[in-house]
Amino acid sequence: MISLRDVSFSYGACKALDHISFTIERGEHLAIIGPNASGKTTLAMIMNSLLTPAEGNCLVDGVNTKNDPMFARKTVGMVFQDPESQTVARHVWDDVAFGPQNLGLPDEEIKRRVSESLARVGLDGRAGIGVSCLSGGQKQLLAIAGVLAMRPSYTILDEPTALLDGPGCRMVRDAVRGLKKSGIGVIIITHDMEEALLAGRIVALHEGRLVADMPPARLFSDEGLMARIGIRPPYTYQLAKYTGAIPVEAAR
Amino acid sequence: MPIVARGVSHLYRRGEQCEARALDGIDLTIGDAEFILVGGSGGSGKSTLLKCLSGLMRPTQGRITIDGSAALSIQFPERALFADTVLDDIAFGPVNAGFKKGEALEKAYKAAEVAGLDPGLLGRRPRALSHGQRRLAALAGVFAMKPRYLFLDEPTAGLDPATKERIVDALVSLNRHGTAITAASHDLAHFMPACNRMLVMSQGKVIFDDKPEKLVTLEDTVGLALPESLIVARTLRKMGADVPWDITPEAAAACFRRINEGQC
Amino acid sequence: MKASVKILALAMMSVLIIGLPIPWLYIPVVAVALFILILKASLVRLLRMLLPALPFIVAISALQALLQGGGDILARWWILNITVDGINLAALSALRMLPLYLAGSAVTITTGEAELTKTIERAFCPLDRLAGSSVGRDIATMTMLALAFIPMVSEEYASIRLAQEARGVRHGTARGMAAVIVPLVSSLSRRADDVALAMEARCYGLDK
Repeated sequence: MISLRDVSFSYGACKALDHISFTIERGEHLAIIGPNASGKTTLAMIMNSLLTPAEGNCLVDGVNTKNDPMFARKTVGMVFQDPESQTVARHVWDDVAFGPQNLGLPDEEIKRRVSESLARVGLDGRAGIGVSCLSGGQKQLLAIAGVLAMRPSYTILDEPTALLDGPGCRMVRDAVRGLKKSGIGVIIITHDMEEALLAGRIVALHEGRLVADMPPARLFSDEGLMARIGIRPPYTYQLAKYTGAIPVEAAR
Repeated sequence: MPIVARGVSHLYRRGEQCEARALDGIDLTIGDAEFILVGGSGGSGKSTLLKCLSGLMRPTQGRITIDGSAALSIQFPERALFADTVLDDIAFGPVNAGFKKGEALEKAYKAAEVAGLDPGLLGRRPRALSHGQRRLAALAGVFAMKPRYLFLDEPTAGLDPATKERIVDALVSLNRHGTAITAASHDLAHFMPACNRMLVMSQGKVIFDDKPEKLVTLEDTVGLALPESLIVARTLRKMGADVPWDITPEAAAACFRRINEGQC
Repeated sequence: MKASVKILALAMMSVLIIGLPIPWLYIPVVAVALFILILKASLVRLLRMLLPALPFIVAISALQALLQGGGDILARWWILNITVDGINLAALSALRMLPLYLAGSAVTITTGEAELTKTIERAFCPLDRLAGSSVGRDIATMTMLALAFIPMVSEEYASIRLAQEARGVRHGTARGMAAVIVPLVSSLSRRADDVALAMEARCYGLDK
């Protein structure tokens, strides 16, 4: 479980997060939404200990991120928005091997983890290819593979499809579904309400404060709350509402 | 005074692993004051087409005649912001075109207004602006040149919904004042309502060139990220109902119900 | 030839080239020639790699000539003198630098980068284990990153150049160059920050 208790964080004079508290269980699918500069990315970086809370605490599986940041980074993987700015090597294999190498694992174990992770995201046919030859969607799959190779219990994806084309979005959504199936807790930051609809729970931030923490169906039926956050319910939800069906996954 | 492309092909030589034919025998005309949306997956040739049509790149085959001024905004144009102040950067285009400093700054102010950029930000360094504001500033820089034909490569990529809407509004406004807009974008949901002509590219060829409403009839949508209403409209069409691409959820639900009850 | 052997040979030749006095220099120069032959390094590629380095080699030698010489003064310009000794020094520097550069290039073009970095990393392994440092790993990572960055830098340069061209920049001018180089540097440093963050997120710098 990731547990945030009264977490606050400021960039200089600007308060990015204001006493945020919530929890995420193993295997949950959580969506974090909110307008720009509402603190979503800051929150993500606190959960995997790239940032330390100024006030309050973040506990990952019982371990305080202030005491053991590396545990948090190992347990909570992070995939960023820009597919171009996450690669560290020229070749696919070396990029995925980077994480396990940092963990000091023996060569045999690294080889095993890299092949497994590439297979799980569907890049196993491209192990020897140069990273610059991959499409945007494939580069995001590579980033997900790199995270998987560290065997995390949770993965945060910060607007992973924002810069991708149609096929790329589909690739990443399939990979995220795969993560869920394997029991990894998925936390997805998004502006896309259709993506948020797929989550089990939505957390909404506004100017650094937590303004909603509820299942999508409840959020999208609360007109007042949606107006305050500045969002509109996704098309799929509205369609399901009008036809009387229960929206679980969009059937395409 | 249109832009005309005849038999345009372009081949990229990126080395053995990823050599590509970006454009394959394109015949195209861009008329005055059109608002064209170019859709297509990555690698379909959209960026190359824009670079060729704007005159910035010569295709390896074929001819392009451009009658009038054309300007191009690349993907993530905010990368190219460099001046000391935002206003100076926006005025860069007019200054290069030969306008005196005073006139150029005038144009820059107007362009910033069109782009929806807060005037209070004009005196700041580009680095001090947020990502969305930097994008607006970069776009204002291209608007300031007041070209007859404006080409934009993914102008709304990576932005929050509010800024996306602002950019589409700015482009609609420019179009209404006589600028021909050609925008390549994955964001069909925002651009389809704004454009009056839509092209879909796949593997260097144009496979669709018609009014956006007609996209419902395209058999193979080649991996395009279709807006939800369009997907629903296509489904309803297959079931026999002729509905517009931007059908509301309420109307769509009613239609499904009528089909179930044996009508429609 | 194994990468470790190549690097060891390169290290030995470097020491000889730099350390031996003039009359004995023919030994390492012949060794380098043999080395290149044994590695079957393509002479065409070696020359192509030499071209961009030549201006630097010439510049460094010339600087030495101008600032260090002694003996008869052949020419004078402002505070710089061109002397006989100076020219000898320049020639000697070039004579040492060229084979060194060619030998190094021969190693890089005949060895895969992964193999190369792994060898360097392994070479530092005992030292790192004793001292608790991570020099080997850091060098390997830096090399890997530098190589991964190269295609990205040229793409970024091409994009920014296109963007400024679209706004009427003329390329010969100083303002034209500033319009490309200034944003390029900003953009690259932003990318570098992003990559550094991604590396930290994947536990780079974990203390064992």
